[in-house]
Amino acid sequence: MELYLQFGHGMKALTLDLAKKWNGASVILSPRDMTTDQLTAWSKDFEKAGVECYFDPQCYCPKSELKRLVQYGYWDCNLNTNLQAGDTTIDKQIKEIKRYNDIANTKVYILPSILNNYDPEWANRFISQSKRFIEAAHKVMNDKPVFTTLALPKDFLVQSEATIEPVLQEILELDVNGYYVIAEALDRKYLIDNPMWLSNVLHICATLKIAGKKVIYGYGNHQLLPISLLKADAMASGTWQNVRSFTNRFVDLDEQKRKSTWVYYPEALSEYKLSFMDWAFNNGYLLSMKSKDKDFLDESINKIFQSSVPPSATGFSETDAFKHYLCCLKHQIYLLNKQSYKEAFESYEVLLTTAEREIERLEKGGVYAQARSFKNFIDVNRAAITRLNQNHGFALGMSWKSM
Amino acid sequence: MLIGELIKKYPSLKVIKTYPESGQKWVYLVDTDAYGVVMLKIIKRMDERIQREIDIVNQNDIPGVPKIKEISSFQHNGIEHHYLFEEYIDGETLTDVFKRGPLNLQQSLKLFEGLLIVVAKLESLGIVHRDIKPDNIICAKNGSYCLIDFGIARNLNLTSLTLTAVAVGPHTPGYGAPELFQYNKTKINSRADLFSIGVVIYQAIFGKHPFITGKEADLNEVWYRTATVTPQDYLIPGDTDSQLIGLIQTLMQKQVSKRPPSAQKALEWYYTVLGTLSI
Repeated sequence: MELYLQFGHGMKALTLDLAKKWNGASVILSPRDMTTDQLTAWSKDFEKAGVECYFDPQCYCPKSELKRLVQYGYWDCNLNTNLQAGDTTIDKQIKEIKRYNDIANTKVYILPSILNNYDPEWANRFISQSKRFIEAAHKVMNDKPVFTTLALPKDFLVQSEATIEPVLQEILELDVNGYYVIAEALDRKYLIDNPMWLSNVLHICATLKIAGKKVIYGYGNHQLLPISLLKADAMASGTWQNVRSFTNRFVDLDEQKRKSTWVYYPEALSEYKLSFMDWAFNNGYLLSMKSKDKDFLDESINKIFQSSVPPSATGFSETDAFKHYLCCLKHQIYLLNKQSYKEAFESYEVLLTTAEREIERLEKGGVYAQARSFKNFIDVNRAAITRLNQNHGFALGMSWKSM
Repeated sequence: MLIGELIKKYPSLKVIKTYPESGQKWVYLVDTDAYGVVMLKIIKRMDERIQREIDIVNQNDIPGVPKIKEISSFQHNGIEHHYLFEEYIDGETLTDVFKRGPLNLQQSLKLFEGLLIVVAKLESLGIVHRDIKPDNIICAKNGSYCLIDFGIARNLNLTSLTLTAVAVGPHTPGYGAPELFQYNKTKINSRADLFSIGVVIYQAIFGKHPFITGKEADLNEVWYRTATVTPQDYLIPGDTDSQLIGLIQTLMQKQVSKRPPSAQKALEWYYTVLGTLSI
């Protein structure tokens, strides 16, 4: 599995910076966060820097008033999309989306999808919409792979596997090369405390992968690392929470209140506020939060660990925190890319056990990750991977080399 | 009796055994000049379902399925009656074999491979057998296994003969996959047959049915247990990495999405598993 960048507010410089550091990168562009002129200009910059682009049309919430997104040709002037209208309109919109893909010289086409609330008719509506987009796409998008977007509402993701099954069978029959999976977060939370949600996300993605389809998981974060265990092709993540988890509150970031700087400690799968890092510094715990694996120690985090002053006085910025998070996530994904499913599964179990131990150790020293502690999510992830193993462990083991 | 009319047509035909009469056919074991000892099946009334059953076997060379030697018809009292001569497999049904106990591992593996080969071939033809069960498996005296009775097989390339309004698709309870009696009877595929193979092989190795205890009160309980009970894991001698039991359990997964993606893939996995066994 690879890490893709989920483009968000103010991410251009960081994307170029990370592409330089990583010797190339893949980014899923976000029309919500760039004007059409910026798309044209930045795509050229990205291409020069070896950044492979994808274009997410972001039609999830047609009623949203997103000042940049509405400038795009597939969005109508009433701040609404026509994606639920007749075929002719869909054909036009798909052509427009293709035009933006051409501008960005994308690797694959990502088709739009609306995030509808879950109700008994949701599946029929969702499959029928998806088929219409796909049908329109096949008329004009024939020069590269086509991915359909699975915008899965939160209430669907906590249904029983038996309820999910017929929908999954319909999804598998869609005539596409791959799936861009968007899972709506429960209660708009960053980390999800319901094992059903995560287990179903893993179940859906594993089924698609075992069936030989490509899977890109969008708007992900470190809680979704177990999608490595099903050899998803990529997980996309980004800077702010609105590109690390997906909610139906699909708004411009500049309307959101900015909060503290959080520093990711990969061994604990937790993020710590800079103020708590200062506290750890004063109490002699900071150096114990320095990763043993030097590949987690990028130049951003080294500002903290190679300094004799408290972290907040080192100039460690929000951008540094984002960069550090993404570098760590990329390395954690790399560490889970194993020769066999069994090895990957065992490595992930070790990762959880280590995080559990580290969180406990730091808490004994009074160092707390507060709202971004992974403490209450370790069991959620354990439960979800246990179910993944029961459901698909054998098939993943058998298919691993060919996936 | 119509057999008399056929004896007039084939004077040297000798009836060796008469099988119990079924709803659709009269079945005999006969000796003929042309084919030697074969099964003779006289169709009581030809209809679309029987025609499809015959076509599946006659138009395709399916390994592990008795071959049809001849299909013809004759007139009697102004009515056309169809009959066929079919390859005779000298042996007994797996149901009869199970009465003496489970198969040994070598026999079970041979059965497993044989069934997967048949279903992979059927899959390539767009056919789902839908009734794989011990009654429909013949254990030949030479140690091979044959799958018989395509009476409720579904050709996915043709329109269904089961009324859409019928909630439950044709199957044998206890062996039919949950999708045959639950949500998805119209969208079945070869993975329904994989489920049945899993049940048969589990029974062959462990000598007990994975879901059914024999104490079920009614059909609903059989369905309920088939759709909900997770078969117990047992150790299989030589299966040190639990790969064989893993494959069997995967075939018996309740949801189609958790079974192998195709019968061909299941067969490939079988050969991979075979390499892990210490036997």
